[in-house]
Amino acid sequence: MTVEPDRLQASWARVLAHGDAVPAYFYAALFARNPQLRQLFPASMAGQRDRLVAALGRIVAGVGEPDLMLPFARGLGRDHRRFDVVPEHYAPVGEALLATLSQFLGPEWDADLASGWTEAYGLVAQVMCDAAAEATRAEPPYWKALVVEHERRGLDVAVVRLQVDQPVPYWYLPGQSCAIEVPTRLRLWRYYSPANIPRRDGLVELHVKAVPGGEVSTAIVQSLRNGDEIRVGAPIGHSLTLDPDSGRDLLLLAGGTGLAPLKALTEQLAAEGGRRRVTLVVGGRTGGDLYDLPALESMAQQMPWLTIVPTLSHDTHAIGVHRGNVVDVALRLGRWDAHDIYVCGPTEMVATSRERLAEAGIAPQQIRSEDGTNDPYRPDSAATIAVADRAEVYAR
Amino acid sequence: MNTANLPGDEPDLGRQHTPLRGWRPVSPEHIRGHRFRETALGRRGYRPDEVDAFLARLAEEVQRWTSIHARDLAEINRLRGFFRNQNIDTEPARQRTYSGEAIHILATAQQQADQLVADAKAHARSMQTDARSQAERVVVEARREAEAAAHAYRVRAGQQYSADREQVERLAAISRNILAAVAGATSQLDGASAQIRAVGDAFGAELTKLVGPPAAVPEQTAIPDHPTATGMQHVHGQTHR
Repeated sequence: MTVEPDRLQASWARVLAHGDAVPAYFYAALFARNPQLRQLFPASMAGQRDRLVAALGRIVAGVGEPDLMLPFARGLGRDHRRFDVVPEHYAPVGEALLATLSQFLGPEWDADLASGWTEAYGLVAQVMCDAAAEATRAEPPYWKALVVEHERRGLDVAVVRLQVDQPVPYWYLPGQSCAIEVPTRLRLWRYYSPANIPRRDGLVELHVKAVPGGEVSTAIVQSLRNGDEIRVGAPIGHSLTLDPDSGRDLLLLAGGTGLAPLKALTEQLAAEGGRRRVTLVVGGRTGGDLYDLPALESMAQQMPWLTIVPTLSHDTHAIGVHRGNVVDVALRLGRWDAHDIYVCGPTEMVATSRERLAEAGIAPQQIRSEDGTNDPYRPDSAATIAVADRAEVYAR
Repeated sequence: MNTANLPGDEPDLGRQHTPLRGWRPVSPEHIRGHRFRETALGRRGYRPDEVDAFLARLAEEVQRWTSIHARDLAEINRLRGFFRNQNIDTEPARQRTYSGEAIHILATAQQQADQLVADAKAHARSMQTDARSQAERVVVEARREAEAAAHAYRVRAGQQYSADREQVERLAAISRNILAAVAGATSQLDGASAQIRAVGDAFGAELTKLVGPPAAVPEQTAIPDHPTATGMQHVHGQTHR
């Protein structure tokens, strides 16, 4: 390395002090030179800028620490395949990056820094390209899928069934999620969890709630049609998957379309023989939010070990459901000290549930939920996750 | 004489042929041939022989630079051709200058686009939120009045009570409410269509709840055929990464 990692990191910190102007300059420089790359990005670049800064930040922090940086860069490389990134794109991006650094560092940008950054970028680009090439030998950048059924349920929920095209089988663990891109919102990917276990015929059921102002969720609920072709990314995430070593009974707390992965877990438990008792508390504000109740009740009829507890927090006239929020209803129903607890739903619902369970003396390690860390990339799961996007996914 | 117009003032590497507006090249011949008008009698002026001598010197100098420039230009073009024939890139990518102006224009345009998208999203968000809460209110109110109507019917029916009739009273109350809500929403220009849709959906859902599905309703979430336990083990054994 021609320049100390410290100096590289210090120079990045000074560039970052210029705030949003930095990614704005970077993308403008990239597109001014390479107009053909613009179509790889969505119309609004607002979210993109934060993602770029976050990813570069992680890479810069990992300079000189390959154990930290390499897995991240590999994950980034694998994941960028679904954005149609090819090796030829790395050179122009590198150029634009160096131009950006030189622009914001001014006189401080000297030959040492230039060669240090060039070297670091070259390394990262190489690792990303290699990881992408290796991944492509095992699985496609994304799977194509046809919408075979689009069913609106109530005001703002759609249950969508996809037929995933499988030259390579689309296998996932129940509880994982997959990135989805729909034809009317190209270049915008959102994560949704299948509501079923993987099937040999490639059918995947998604539960989508139209979030007010949500670009993608609204399009999926309101304008997706049977026969539309969508793209599905490789499944990611392990925070909501079943612990293969556990035989404990389960408490599942679902808020809104957070039901989907928990329904998939229930199917998995059924497929494994139904040897564990499962209590699924499924909640919403008013009656329409219990959009999948008939299906759940019919599951419970076939599965004696499964108890469904519908709850509503804002419906004073509802009959046959519990009143209150999901976690409070669960805590009224019984003790859960010896259970594996899975929570999925809107961010506040997950946070409240964790708080109340802790107050009730339940150990945090008993509780599984998707981690709400504010980190747009998840290198360990080999994929990018925009947490801001996720707000769109499990909203009530 | 405007010295800024002298050739060679701007190095021309054969690339930037963008003469200034009104610019005319000044050749040594121009300088040599130029004659200044004489001043009126009795006014002070330069001595013509000195002016001529200076212009001659200037012409020589311009001649010298022009030929040097032409020679250099030829040499540059020769070298460029040589490198091109050898497939050598004479302009390493990162040394190419980025046009600051282009970048600025692009960044500004993108910022405006982002702002428009953000505004549209915010607008959509508030419309959808309003529509949803209004739909919730309408449904809750309609249901409350339906129960009140059913209660009133039970009180006055006495011996003539029939469950069907009670249900009709309920439905009638709900219909009156929903129609009133639709009429109210239609009269509001802003966001009317979203609200109507929300109210209509809520109406449909309520109606279905009260009187059952309208006709053949698509089969609700069937339980899929589960893979065998070994099938699931296959999933467990799958390493995605």
